[in-house]
Amino acid sequence: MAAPQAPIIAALALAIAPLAIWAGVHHADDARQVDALAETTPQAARPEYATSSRCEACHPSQYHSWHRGFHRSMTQYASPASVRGDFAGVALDGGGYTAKLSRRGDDFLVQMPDPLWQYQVDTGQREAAPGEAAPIVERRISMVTGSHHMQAYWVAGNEGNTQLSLPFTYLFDDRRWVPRGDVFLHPPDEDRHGEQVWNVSCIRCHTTGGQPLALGGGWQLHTKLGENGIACEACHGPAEAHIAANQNPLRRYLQHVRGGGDPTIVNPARLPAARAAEVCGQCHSLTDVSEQIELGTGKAFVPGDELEKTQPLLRPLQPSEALKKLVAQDPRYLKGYFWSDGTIRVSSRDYSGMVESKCMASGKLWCGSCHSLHESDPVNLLAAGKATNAACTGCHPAIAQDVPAHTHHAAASTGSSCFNCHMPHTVYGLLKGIRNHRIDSPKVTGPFVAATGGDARPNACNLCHVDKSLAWTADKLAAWYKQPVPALPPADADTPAAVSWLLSGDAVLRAVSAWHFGWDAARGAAPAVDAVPYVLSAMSDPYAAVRYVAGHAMAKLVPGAVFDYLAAPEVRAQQQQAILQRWLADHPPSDAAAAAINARITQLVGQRDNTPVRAME
Amino acid sequence: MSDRPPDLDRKILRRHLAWGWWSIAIFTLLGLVLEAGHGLKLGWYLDAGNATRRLSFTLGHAHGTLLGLVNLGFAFSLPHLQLSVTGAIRASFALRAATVLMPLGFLLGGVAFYAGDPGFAIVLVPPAGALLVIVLIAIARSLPARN
Repeated sequence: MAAPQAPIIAALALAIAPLAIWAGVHHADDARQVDALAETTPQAARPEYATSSRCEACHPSQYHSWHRGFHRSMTQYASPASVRGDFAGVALDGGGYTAKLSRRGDDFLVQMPDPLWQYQVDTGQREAAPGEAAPIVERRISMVTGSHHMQAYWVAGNEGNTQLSLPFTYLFDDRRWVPRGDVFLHPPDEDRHGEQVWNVSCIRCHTTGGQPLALGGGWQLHTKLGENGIACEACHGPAEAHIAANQNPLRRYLQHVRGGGDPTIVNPARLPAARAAEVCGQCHSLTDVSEQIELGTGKAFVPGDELEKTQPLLRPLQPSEALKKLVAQDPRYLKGYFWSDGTIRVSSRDYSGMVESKCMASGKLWCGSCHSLHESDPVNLLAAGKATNAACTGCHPAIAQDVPAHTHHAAASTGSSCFNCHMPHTVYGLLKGIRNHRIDSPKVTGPFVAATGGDARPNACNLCHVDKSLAWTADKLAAWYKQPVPALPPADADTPAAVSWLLSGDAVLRAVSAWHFGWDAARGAAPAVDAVPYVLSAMSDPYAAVRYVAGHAMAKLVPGAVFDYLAAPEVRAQQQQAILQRWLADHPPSDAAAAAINARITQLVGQRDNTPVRAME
Repeated sequence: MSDRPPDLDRKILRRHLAWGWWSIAIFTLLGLVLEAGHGLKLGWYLDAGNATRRLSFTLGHAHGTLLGLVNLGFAFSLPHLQLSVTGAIRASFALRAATVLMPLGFLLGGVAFYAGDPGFAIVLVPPAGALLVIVLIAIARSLPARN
């Protein structure tokens, strides 16, 4: 006789079976997709690297503070969680490329000219017949770069796990796609922004333990990673041995009792200051990169090592043979990175600035003196209390006793902020001005802006007092700090220096100056309305990036100002005209003043340093 | 049936009933406190960096409550256990020691801890666990044969 429960069990089985079959099929689909992605995308495959997920168990606090930061998400696999660009059936056209973006389930797709074909043609590895265009292919977005200001995208090149760039970048603040070439500051008459290969460029600093493995491999790259993104082991070194050693609880508790460092792992905070700074400097600097690093087994530097041994710094102030060779190959090389006084001027290379600082020579200063990866606001990574003058007064207590006596500015004013005078925003990158980490004092020095001095580092005073001339600053510095007064050319003696830099400097100087016209501190220090005609003129700059920065500054000067830095010239002209009319309505200048402004603009634009510059941010 | 003096059994039984109910009361109360920690979103308890504390406290709460139930089970089982006088006294002692040491080890280990490792008080837990295992085996073995 059948058990009374038998019908119930049978009914349950019938109900569950389809669900089980559906789940099994769905899982198999997912697994196939994951396998396909793993085959065409670089994966964590280095046995000495443990990956951050295994660090979390013992270091949950550090793991989570790192996890919420932007280093982790510098490179991510594409997923609904990581992709921030708009893929809702968007058609893109610009910069010499077209693309159609779409989304299918969790996959982000792009129809675009075959990037590998394009790259091979660009680099002379393939010959295109006259009129032949790259075949249109559909690719799945495989990886993304960036999660803070903008996001770049990569697709599999279908050769090993080569990753090639989507030629459009998504800007978060502007909520728009722009051609990749128009995100960077590069000469407008240069060719279309070329395809990039992630495996041999970004991998070096946007992953942990990345190995391009491109030497001798042709296009069949089988790049390996320690981990995607900048993870724990980028700063602490490979951790597999550390984890193995600490599986023994007795060892761990002995370590807890003893205190001090664990020799199986590197803690930058326990290294001597100079060595600790090199941990950050492995990426945040300009170093000589060997072919082995660029194309072979990747960086040999391990945190705690001397950086100079594997990645010697390239410093114009102490030029090495390697730097001389680079300059010999490309006379414009230095302009891409440095001001004429040897100070770094492009972003993400802050260590190159810091090593030239007097503060660094004291042997106490390192990145962790102000920044913290684990106890900070992820936006600027400033450690608690380091966003104020306290960051400096620890080593300069005498100044803290009477700040205005030193600064000659009101104690609570932006002019009494140590950073604003000693670390002004003279670094360009990410379409904005960024603080310089060569900590020094403002000076008025040559070469002064003219056709040959467009890459002279601007001084902090005139970047804030944008309505004052170099002569004014020179007088103040002489009176307050006994600095010698330089002989200034007549134009530099009475023209507002920031205006001169904005219209006559080289492209980096123009971008940096443009950003300052929108800077809150500068708008507080100088009458903002006076700057409008000059910034308006900068919005016609031949460099797209300069137009972008100037346009954003204008939005601060004339709230509601509409300007598309990539629109056709005639459209931009109309937008500029509309802004000008608004300004004229509120601030009508006399005929003489208007003529003087126009004459100054014409003169300064005529003196523009047109040396082609590509900012190597 | 055991050949232990009835007075001894009554004394042990009463003791474990008291230990059992008090443990359940105390650790249920602790459970309420932990729930309040969640409800009030106390960083000291919930922050990612305090995961070790959270786990230790949760384990302390769970083990304390469970051991309260074990004490009650022991009390109710005692009349049926063929333990000698010494065996019963030792089992009672071991069970009470485990009831104190195990939750205490977890709780104190969570007060001050080392990132992923609980504090030194966690050393109380392994001996308490060993005592508990021994006493549970002793109890299981002292059950009367089927017939």
